[in-house]
Amino acid sequence: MNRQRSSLHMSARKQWAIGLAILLMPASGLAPAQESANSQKAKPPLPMVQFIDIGEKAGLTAPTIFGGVDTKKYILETTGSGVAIFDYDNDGWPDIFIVNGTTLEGFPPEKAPTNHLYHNNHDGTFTDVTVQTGLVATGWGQGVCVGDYDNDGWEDLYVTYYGKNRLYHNDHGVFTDVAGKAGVAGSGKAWGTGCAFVDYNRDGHLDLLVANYVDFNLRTVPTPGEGTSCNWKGIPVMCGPRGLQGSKNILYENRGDGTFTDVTTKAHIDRTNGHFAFSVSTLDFDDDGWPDIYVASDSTPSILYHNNHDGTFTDVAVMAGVAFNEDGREQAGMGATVADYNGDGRLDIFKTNFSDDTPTLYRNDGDGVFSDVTYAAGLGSHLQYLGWGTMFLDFDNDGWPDLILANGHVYPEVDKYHLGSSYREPRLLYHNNGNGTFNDISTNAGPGINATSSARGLAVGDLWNDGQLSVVINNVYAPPSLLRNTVRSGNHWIAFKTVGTRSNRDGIGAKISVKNGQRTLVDEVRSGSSYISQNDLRVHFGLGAATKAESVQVRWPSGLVERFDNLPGDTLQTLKEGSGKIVTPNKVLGKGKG
Amino acid sequence: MKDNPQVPGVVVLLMAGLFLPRVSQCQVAADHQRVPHHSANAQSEAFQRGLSALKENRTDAALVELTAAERGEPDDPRIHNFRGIVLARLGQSTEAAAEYREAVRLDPRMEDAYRNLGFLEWTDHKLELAHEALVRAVELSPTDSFAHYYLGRVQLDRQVYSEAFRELELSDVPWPAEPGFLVQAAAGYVALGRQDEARKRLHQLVTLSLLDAQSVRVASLLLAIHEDEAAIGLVQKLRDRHAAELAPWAQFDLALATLLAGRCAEAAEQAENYINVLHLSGSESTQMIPAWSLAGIAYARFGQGDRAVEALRHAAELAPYQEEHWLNLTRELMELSRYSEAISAVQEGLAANPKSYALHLRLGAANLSAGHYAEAEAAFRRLVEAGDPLLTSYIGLAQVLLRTGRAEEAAAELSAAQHKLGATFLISYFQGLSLERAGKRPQAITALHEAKRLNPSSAEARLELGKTELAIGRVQEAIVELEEALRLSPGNVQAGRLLSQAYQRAGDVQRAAKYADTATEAPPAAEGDVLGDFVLPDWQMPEESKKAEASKP
Repeated sequence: MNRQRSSLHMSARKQWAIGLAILLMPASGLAPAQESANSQKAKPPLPMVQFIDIGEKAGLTAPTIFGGVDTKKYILETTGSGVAIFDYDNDGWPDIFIVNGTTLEGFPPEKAPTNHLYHNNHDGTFTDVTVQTGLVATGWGQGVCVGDYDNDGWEDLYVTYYGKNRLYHNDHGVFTDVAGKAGVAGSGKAWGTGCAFVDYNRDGHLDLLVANYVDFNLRTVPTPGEGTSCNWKGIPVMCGPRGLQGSKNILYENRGDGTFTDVTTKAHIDRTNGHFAFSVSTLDFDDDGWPDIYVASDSTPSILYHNNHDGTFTDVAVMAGVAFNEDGREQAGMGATVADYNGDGRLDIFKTNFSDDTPTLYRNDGDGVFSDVTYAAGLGSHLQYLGWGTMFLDFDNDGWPDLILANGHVYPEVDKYHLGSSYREPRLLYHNNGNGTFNDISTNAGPGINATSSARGLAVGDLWNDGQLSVVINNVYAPPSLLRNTVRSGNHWIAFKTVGTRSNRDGIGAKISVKNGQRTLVDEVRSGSSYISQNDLRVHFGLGAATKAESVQVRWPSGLVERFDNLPGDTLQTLKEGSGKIVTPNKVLGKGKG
Repeated sequence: MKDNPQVPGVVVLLMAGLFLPRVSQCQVAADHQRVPHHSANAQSEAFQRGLSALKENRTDAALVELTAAERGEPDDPRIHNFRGIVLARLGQSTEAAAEYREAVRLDPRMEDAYRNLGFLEWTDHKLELAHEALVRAVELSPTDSFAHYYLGRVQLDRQVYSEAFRELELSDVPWPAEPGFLVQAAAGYVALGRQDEARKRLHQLVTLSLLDAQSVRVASLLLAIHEDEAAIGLVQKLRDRHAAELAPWAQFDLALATLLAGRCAEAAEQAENYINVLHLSGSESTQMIPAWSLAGIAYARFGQGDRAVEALRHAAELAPYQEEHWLNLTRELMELSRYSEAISAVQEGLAANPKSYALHLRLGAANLSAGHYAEAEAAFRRLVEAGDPLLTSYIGLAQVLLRTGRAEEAAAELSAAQHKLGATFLISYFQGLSLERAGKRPQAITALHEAKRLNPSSAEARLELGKTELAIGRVQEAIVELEEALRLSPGNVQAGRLLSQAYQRAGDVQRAAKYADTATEAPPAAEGDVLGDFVLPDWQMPEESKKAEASKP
């Protein structure tokens, strides 16, 4: 044989092919824990957390139906749906809303799967109140976000669909779909995914950003194996999203009269087009008092809409370093969560991605840019999982936000071919070491973490108002998981429900800073986030050993900055705008220029 | 391909005559002192008679006289030299060489004996000995045109091309218009990248009457300098000259030429035609192996993956003990991301070729791609522990370790590789990558600087270095490296994206925005060479050429 290109001599090109045709290489910044000689004889330490799944016992029994079971013919069947934790009936106890899907074949009307609302009975159980609350709905349900858009004191729901989206107005615990009337139903042909209520123009009314995924048409989309984007590691699978047409995100401005206007073009949201957008997380990343919006995108650059204060946004993701990973490569972004993980007072972003890749932790460096610190933080050791819902949560209340991820593959075929991933995957739990790094404590975090499922949406909330954060996960073809932490750390906590008076009633967008000894803990009231889900709107902080919050400062969307001092720990505090000590008065109210 | 010497013996003789005065007079005088006067005269006369006979081409008589002269004057190097010439002309190479060696032993400065010896060894295809003698000849006589010429020819045969051409150019001897020599010269120019000179010789060649094997060689060289149409035309003429069933090799060569010219669909069709011709002629299936291989490569290059796999599998199954077919098959399966099948095929290949280094390496790579990290690690470790003299298994092992979160271990393995194999670009580059992942950024930067030094034109090294500099806040340094990466690899979207961030950090919002605007563009399609990493089949030759090749020492 001709040896001109002999592989035996391993041409430089072949060496490159082996060397460089790689995916991201993971690295753990932490060496495996070494047992000392002494510890071999000592009792094993108590686990710092033990999550157990009490979902079924609690009454969350309806499985989420989503597409085919053994195979997914189209990408529509893979994305799963979200979950919301919110207090729909204002009894002070968060309830749970699970978005449901359907199948290509459909169902007879009486058997069609529906979304479910579970009322918190305050005793560890929940009751399905879907019918009586008017939330029975079928279709390809996707994401959900919560916000009191009409400032009437009752939390409303927005549910995205492949098809027409639904805006449920909450009237004392009973919901009515007013999306059409309100002007937020969409075209009926779009594939809505993540959403978030946000007062982008700071006029006191919650506006709404809806992410859209793919311009999808069941009649024209190719079938498995039909093209290069319809194969995965040689296996014919559903097509996309690459090879399909990306979509456009929509911004609706709240007129204040129960209706919205599509301001997508006016606000320059459509200048970033053709992305496969999933999850929406709001954050004021540059701390200028105006909410910005991060949209995790699949196989396309993620988006960071910077609020220009004039009714428009500019996508600065590339320059800010949050569009790609540290190598400048696109990732298949799914869910995202925001918190100040390193305690420097700036909000950081964590994003989940597809398998054969790591999740991404973007550290906010404070100058309008972020650094991808995934490996340095110890978060780069798992490539085999496909991540979806994720949240920062301080499960041990030590004042450092930890991380939970829900995983599950999109191709049921993956089990048959043994290609390094599995369809049902465990959750991951990382403990924040307080020094910019995390430890993977999944294997010791309880059966609720190690259980496998094909998980999608995830939400976090203090379901029992006891300072212990719980996690609800929406699983495909399984009932939801309700993870309860049975270990009490002994640390203290404080949580805040904000009530806007000049700002939007929920206080969404308010920045809360808790001074705790030498540290200042910060977070915002946020709609949306995780993977197309909604967390408890009450903002939770771990205080560690401190028994009170010395000083709590709130910067309201209206511009008012006020302070509340010496609030006792282990309590849920309601912070009403205007009731604290004024630090900075409101700026001039009214709509932003635009 | 080896030419017969072109310089006639008479020229050698004349040259010898020219150099005669060089023989040490002192030596001759000394010799005369040892021999009685009357005998010395007799020997001298025998010597002169011998020279005359040689001049007149009476080699037998010359031998008699010079033998007699040598008997009387055994220490006269001139006699040994001329006796050597005569013996060479009589075809007694071994004895001739002995005479020349004796001449230079007696007179180490006897340049013409060295030249004659070199020439003789060359004609006997003893290239190393020829080289040794001729180097000495040109040292002793830098203006000896023929010595340079022969040395040039020897170097050409040894494929030491730059020296060959230097010697030939130093010589005044005009180059013969002989196809064999011209082919060698053309091959040499191609190897040295001197395309214009190669083109000149090849254009000269196509006007000459060439043997079939020479035509094939010329065609391959024309393809090497991208004169595809000329090459294909030449092979087509060759094919048309012969009846298909009598010279199927010509059909194969046409298919190969077409493939190398990048006309893959056509090449695949021609390869299939070749197989059909063989079928019809009742040839053995083993003769079809190169054609299946060629067809498979052609199908692979124009995106017919399934047909490529089928053809390459045919080749592998017909010749299971030839590792290259398994390599080609698994290469295509991996290209199609059919990793499970690739792993099975490698295992089949290894069953037939258990000692194949390349297949062991491929096993590691296939398992790595399939996410079977334990198996990949085992495969690469086996090669490392067996003392792999190449660095590829170390790099593969490092890849697996990085994938499984063991960056420090990867760095340690690469350090061991460097200690064993010396500093190489790839080792330094991957060391940099591993150290960066392990959070040891200053050391990573050192390693990446070394990689840059070893391969200044590597955009990847610049990119990685720039990225690492950016990560530790050395923004200006990052910009320098990333700009260079972009210069080396225009359209490198990763470099552009990182530059956008770097300029943003540096406060240059305008440049940040400029690079951000291009960041979402799709990168330009890579211009790989047509054949990637496939192992090509050889050109086919007529039977008589094969026999001639086989008979060469």
